[in-house]
Amino acid sequence: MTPATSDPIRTFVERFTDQNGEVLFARSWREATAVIAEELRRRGVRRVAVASSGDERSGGLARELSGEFTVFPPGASAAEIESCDAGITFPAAAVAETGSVVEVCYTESDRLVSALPPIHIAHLKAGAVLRDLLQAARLIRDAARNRAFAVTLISGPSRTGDIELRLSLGVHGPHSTVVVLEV
Amino acid sequence: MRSVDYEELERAVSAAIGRGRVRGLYEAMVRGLKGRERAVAEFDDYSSFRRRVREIKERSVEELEGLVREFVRNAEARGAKVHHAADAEEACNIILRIIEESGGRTVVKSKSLTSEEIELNEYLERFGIEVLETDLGERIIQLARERPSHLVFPAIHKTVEDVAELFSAEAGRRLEPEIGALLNYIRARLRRKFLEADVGLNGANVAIAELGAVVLETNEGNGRLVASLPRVQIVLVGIEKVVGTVEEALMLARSHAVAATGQRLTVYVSVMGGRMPLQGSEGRELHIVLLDNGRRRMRDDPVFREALYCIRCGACMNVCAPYSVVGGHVFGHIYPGPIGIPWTANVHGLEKASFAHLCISCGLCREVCPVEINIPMMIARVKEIDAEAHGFPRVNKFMMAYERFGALASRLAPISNRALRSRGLRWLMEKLVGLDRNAELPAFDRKSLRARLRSVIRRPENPLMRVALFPDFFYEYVRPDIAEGLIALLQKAGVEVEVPPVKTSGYPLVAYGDLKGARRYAEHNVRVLREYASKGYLVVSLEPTATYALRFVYPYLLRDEGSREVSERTVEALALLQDLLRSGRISLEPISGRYGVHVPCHQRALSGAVHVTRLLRDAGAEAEVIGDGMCCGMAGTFGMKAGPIGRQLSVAMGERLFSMFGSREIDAIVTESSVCAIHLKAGTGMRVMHPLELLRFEVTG
Repeated sequence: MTPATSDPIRTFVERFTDQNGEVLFARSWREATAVIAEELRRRGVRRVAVASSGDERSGGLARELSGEFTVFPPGASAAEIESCDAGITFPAAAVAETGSVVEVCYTESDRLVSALPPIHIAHLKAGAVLRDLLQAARLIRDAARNRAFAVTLISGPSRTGDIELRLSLGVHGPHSTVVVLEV
Repeated sequence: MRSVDYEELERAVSAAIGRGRVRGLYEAMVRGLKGRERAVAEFDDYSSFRRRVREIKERSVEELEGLVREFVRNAEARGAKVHHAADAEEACNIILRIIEESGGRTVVKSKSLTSEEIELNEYLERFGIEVLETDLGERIIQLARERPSHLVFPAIHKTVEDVAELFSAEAGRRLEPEIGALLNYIRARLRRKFLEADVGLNGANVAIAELGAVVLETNEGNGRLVASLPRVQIVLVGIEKVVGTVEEALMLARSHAVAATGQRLTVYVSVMGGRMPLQGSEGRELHIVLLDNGRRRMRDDPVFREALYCIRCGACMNVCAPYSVVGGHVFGHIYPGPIGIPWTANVHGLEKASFAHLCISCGLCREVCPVEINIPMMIARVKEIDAEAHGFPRVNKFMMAYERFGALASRLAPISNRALRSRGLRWLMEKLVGLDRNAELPAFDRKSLRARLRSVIRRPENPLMRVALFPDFFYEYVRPDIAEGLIALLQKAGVEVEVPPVKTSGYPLVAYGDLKGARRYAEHNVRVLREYASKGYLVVSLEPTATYALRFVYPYLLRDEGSREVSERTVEALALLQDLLRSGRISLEPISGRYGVHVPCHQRALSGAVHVTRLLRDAGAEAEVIGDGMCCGMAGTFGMKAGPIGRQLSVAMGERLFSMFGSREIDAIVTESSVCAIHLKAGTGMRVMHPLELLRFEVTG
């Protein structure tokens, strides 16, 4: 559709930021965890929910953060996640064309981590950035092999212009959506 | 529409004009249009994208029954219970039963136009169910007990003070009229409801047959909470929303966001299948209610089938000038705006669709529609059905006889011109035929173009090319001199010109819903022009509306080879001049001055005034297009009709544009449309010129 003519990663960052999302960079997983911890600290977060990552990242991060924050590992209840100041997720991909991250969930708990807390931090590997939207179709089809699934394309923080057309963030979902991009 | 209904509509329009524009509505519309333009500009080739989107909807509606079966099979395999509702009542019943069986009393809802179509909230409330809209705008409207006035911004007419008052009443304490505070309140209040509610109800933007999954788009993120937290989820979806594949669904989601708000994608696009587990929430259910409510009937109708292609983006209302003046409460029933007319006529009944008469047939809704839906022709069809049942409104009848009137007035000029300036006669005409006594009328030329032809036509030997000129009403009767000048220039440049025995375009009949009459004009003109086209003549048209009719309306009305052939051979007069200029046959004499170019609506489907702007600049003048992309309000003869649904509305529509022109330092307004020119001249008091009055050409080659 819209070709990301230049570098898809750059296009993703430009467009996601343009949509009020924030992007931080890290050069390794180790550095990414440090960036995430610093971001939580900076924003005064005390309670944090971690979604499952499908690999060792969520477990590792939960352990890493638990010394300093109250951490709810994957599978927390709605009330627990609701009580958090921030949620951390691991999107399966991102789309440069639309400046979106793509979250694949098989439990509501995972989905709620990016839906309930006011701050959403997503860890994304640069290699997962797709050039255009239609490339996300394969991912959706894969996810749909599960009996129940939800794939959500997230293109910035929750927004509304419903009062006097003035842009307001965070009306129902997070007011801050931060991607920690591991390049 | 019965005459009493017409009078009621007139009163509503009159009151709306009296109140002034709906607060914030115009700003919301312009923002929508500008955003769309920006988002479209990011595409390499938006028009091919748009064509593909249309093909998706065409195919999906064509294969509807098969796709619905596939969707149901796959959704059931995921544990969903699928219900089929033939009409609104059945859908409401089914949903009530699901809620009652769940033991719940509270429903949290994400914005769903389809639920508004079936008036679900009112129904459920009658049975003591608490229904909470969770989209901010919808919640404001619900508390105010009103209807949305805009598709994307339902509460656009409410100020921050209004909202503070509504929320304070609900909260039982005083909330400051400050957006941040109000947002905090509503977030906390609804959060509790989300966590407590037994039932969540949402619509779907798309349903995907191959997956048995639905797509839900929300910017606020309320849709995600409605779909995840409550134990029972109900999805209400019109059967026209089903497409075959994931790729198709993604294309529609992209297209929707671009056209609705100018976003690349709605902030949250959820593709959901089945019901996922949630700790502490056992026995989770998913119900999908598939709604017909007139859709299958629309599908079987050759005209209204296209309404099913609508993806509910609201772009058509953003560009609709009469809607901008009267708002969605007058220009709408439950579905507002242009596309609301065929939808209302089909799902709520013809009598609810009387606002069809506010459509001025500018055609811009089709231009802006991401699915290229021919909304104007569907509206004309609604007017036609109405006229078949109740006759044409009196004021429209005279306008439909414009051609006979013009021919007569021309023959009687200058007496007729003097008579038409008489206040007495104009008063009488207003009373008798509904022609507004203050409407500016053109002065007719005593010698029509046809009467001049013998002295004008000079056939060059070995012509460079051959042209059949389509003069239409204005260049036939009012300014035949402009057509004559064009003919003389073309002939000098070696072009053979004929003026075939065509009638006028007949477009006003489309505008008033006399499609049979319009078809007769089309048949005649196509029969005459096809002969020329088949001999290699180009059909050259001066009046943008006539060009539009030849290019797009005739093929739609006649659906035959001849009209398509004529359409393909039709060009705008200025496009031809541009070609001759480029090939060195003619050259431009220098002119100076600053000009504001007005783009007539029908020209937006054509060149969009690029030729006139370029020619003026090439000749050395300054030229810029001025306007907001909406109709100036004249709309052919609409602005000549007496009353609120006529000149009053027409003037109200034009006011913004008048002041835009008025605030510029320009020597004149330039436009190719004869009727826009009349309106702009009356509205601005400025000089309005046809480009061929301004541009001077020399024959060089």
